Amino acid sequence: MSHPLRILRALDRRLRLDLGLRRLAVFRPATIDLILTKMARADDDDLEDIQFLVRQEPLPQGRLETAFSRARVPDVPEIQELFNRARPIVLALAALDL
Amino acid sequence: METIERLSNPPLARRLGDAVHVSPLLRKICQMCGCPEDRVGEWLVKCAVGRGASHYERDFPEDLPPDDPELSDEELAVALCLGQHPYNSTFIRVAAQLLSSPRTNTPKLARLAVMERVEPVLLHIATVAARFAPEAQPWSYLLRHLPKRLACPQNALPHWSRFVSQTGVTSFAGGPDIKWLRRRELGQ
Repeated sequence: MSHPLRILRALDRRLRLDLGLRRLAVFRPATIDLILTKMARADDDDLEDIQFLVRQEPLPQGRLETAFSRARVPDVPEIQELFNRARPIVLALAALDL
Repeated sequence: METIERLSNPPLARRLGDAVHVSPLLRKICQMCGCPEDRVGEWLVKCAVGRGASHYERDFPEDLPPDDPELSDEELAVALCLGQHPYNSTFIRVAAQLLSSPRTNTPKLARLAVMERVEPVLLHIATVAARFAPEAQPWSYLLRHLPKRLACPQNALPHWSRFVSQTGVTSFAGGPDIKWLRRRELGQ
């Protein structure tokens, strides 16, 4: 999938926040996209955040694995290494909350 | 499970493979501000934010005592890095921004760091600073003068990206613009 298409998909998945504002529409990224961004570093604080996210919205392993394989990880060796190292940890965290 | 253990919250010293040093500085600070040990960290963060660690501004509980000018910046920052605290990456990040200033008394900081056994934490920050702000004090001085007493386990201390501000990676402008977080000085 091309980069602009991935961005469009992410925009489709975004969630509108009801903040009671009359003239402003506020969105947040979908939980799965928040998790992917946090996997680019995946330190203890990020993992705590991911654990919180999967508790709020349990995600099946298959959906996570698909998202991992489709994610556009920046072409920076350090980020790629951290992202790949985080994969099994995130799957284990998600399995705890299913 | 390993994952669960990693998310638990042992004292910082234990994460670093060090003995937990019972700090006379922390005792002095608790007496000074009247906070119990489990709240003193929050008070230290509040004081540091008020003195220029502006990246970490937030609302603090109203019942926290006000800052005490008797506590020096160097003592405040070292107290945030103590191994006695349960690990909290924010404490270390706040200390890094507070100390990143030409006003820091570097020799005094180095002496205090050795006395309070926080050299591994300050050396970690100094190593990250050397990558993004090689000339920045007090970090280049500390890198040269602090004893390397302990080899810390990988990932025991905050990731380098926690000490900087950076733009996102985009396909249009290449890599991110990364800036070392310096203390906001009075009048800035």
